[in-house]
Amino acid sequence: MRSPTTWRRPAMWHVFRSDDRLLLIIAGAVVGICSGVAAVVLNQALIAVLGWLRSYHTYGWSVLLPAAGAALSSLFLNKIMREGAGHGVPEVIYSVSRYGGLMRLRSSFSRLISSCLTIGSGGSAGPEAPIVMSGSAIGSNIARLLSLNDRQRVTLVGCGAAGAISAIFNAPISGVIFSMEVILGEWAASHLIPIAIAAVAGTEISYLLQGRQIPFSHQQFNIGFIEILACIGLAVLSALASIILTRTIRAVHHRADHIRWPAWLKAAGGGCAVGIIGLYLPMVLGEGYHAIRTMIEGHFAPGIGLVFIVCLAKIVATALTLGSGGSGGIFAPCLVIGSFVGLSYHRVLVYLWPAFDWVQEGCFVLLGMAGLISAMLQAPLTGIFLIVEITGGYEVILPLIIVSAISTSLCHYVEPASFYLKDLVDKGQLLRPGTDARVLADLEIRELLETDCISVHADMLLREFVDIVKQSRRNLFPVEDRRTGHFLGMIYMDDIRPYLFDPLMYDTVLVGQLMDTQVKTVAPDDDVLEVMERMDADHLFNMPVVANQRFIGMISKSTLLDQYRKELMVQTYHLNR
Amino acid sequence: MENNHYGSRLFQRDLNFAMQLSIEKIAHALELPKGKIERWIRQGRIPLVRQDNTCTFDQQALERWASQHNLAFRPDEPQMPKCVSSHENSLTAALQNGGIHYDVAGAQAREVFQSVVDGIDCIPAANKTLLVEKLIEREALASTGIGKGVAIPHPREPESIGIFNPAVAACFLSAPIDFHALDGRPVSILFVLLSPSVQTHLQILSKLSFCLRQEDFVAFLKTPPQPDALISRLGQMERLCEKQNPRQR
Repeated sequence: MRSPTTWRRPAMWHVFRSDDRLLLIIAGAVVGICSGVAAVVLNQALIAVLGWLRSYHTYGWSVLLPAAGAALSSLFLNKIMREGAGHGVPEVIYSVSRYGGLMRLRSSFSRLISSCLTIGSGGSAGPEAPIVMSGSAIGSNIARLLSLNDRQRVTLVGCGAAGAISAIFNAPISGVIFSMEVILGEWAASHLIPIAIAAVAGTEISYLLQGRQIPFSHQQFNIGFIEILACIGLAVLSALASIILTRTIRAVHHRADHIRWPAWLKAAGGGCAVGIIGLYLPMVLGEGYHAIRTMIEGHFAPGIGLVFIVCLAKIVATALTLGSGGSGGIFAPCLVIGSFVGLSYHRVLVYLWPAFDWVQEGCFVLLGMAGLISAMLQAPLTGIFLIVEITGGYEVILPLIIVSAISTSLCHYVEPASFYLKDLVDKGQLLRPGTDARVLADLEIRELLETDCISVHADMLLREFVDIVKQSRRNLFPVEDRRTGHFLGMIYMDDIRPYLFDPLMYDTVLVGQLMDTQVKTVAPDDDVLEVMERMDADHLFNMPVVANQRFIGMISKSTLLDQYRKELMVQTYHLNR
Repeated sequence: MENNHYGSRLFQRDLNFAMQLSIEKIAHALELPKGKIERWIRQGRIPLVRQDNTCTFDQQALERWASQHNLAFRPDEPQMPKCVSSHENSLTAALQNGGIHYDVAGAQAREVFQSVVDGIDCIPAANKTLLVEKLIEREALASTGIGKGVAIPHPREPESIGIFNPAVAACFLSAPIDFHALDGRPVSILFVLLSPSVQTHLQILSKLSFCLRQEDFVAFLKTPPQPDALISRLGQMERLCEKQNPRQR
């Protein structure tokens, strides 16, 4: 029977409900198109704002522009949208790992506006993370509209992220890989198809609206064996740069947290500092893709000393913008810093061995970008494929793999969690599918309750208690107050065994005298992981669960193991086939 | 692939194979907590579609899913606690199997056992000698004379005798004999316990010991009672025992 209001609930439309895989593919395409549109909108808005403000950058007071932009963006996010500042990507990963990809509708545009203000006014940040967040929020809300379950919603969030990256860089493979490697953290076949479709849709919509352009022009490079060896040095340098960038952003963020200013004032302070840097080194302002373009083409004029200084200035400007509460991502700054690192390295090589016929500096610029992206996100595949796709060239693939792999490993050695994940890991909120933390986070105390314990009253004689022992299958007994029903303590059979066989004590001892009142209890809403840690710390095997001072059941490690195993099997079944 | 996304394929309510059950029943059939089933539906980990409190599902798909995940889906079987039926372990039924024997002759334990075993019908003839040996072996280990003139002889490995129903033979001796009882008093009443398994043996023994702890019952035995009176009295005692210790049912 169809209800007459079916049109208001698209989730019930017959066409969507005939097959859920088809539904996901269609929804994935829609999400890809939406995030592609979001990417184009932000890109065009940035171009317009930058073009409008360019004429003002000649004045001395223009140092205040980034400050005003950052302050407005912070005000917009905190006061109007009521969302915390952040890069965007960690928020998406957190929502995927903790809430099955549930995101607010307003997230689909809030970051676009705030990052447009920050970057457009000159803040050193990237538009990628805000677009990823918008795309993911669009995916999540489409999933909610179709009343899909968590797994399907996560897939659509991944579709949003893939569509965003694909549309920004016209790079569909990077979109798919970024989504699987960074956002979802699992390579499941069920995710792949909708995400690939979304990436294609996102790229296509960007072609359609902005024309078929490759962000960075394609160059021919002839790479020899010596250059490939030299890449190892570049990998080390880019790992170093990424560690410096991570630490600087965190240090500024940490310092900003301790200043007792309103959020918008802090952002304004950071923006003002960036503006002052920009007065002397204007190329650190904004997303910085123009600088990359000139570097790849080999027209970047400044000498090695200046390049090195600009590289450090870009790191500081990015840290100031993002650490003080500006809105934007680290993707573009990473690419810019990476290209500076590659350029400096190439110029050092040429200075040291001028006789050798080195490949053009554009090649090392690309490699530096790949190295920094891989190290920063700890996602080597994303780095490799992004660079291959945005330059449209395949010749650099060998050194790309080497640089990405080595810089990722080195960075992982120093910073075990990537920049995106570090906060989540520190707070214990990174729950990748199929991990111990994920299984324990999903289990609830209520699911583990054992309710076969027989409660006894504190004023019971031992004789009555012995009769109850005969009926019980357990060797522990919760003791309650007869009048109020409040939990008073536990009787453990092991503690009272000697008295049970002494009939003399049957009529002289009360249960209340035998019970252990120093029992550690658990509340039904407690986190299972935390409860497990408490049990391990105190070497407990069982713990009573008490709610509103009343005993509601026991939890034990044996039930936990049973349920843990069932949960793990259900969560990882598709991974192990 | 096919099991990764659950939900919408079963949405059409007109499907023939679709089955509907409440969440409680499904949780019961899968032997899982209700909260876990609800969470799994929300997370898309189980092939169920929820509408309020009712779930629609394809039974075959759910059974396949359950077996893939080491679970069992049993929608119909009531989950009864495993226990032996009370009839099986009834003391009165066992007494009827073993019989009541008056004026059993014999001056020593071996002679008494021989005449008791000869009188019990339900033991295979070939095992009677073995049973006597087993009873004597058990007595050599420790006397089964529990005092007050009563003994409860039984073999240590009850299953080796080859009987299918528990039997208790009540024997009133013509003359008391020395049984090395705990209280040193000569024994005039025997309850020979024979069971198909150790578990049954313990249950019957527990009931019998409950009866023999009552002073008035021992006094009643000393009269000695008529068969009908003994069986009806034992029936009363057994009901009292089961009332006090429900787990012995």
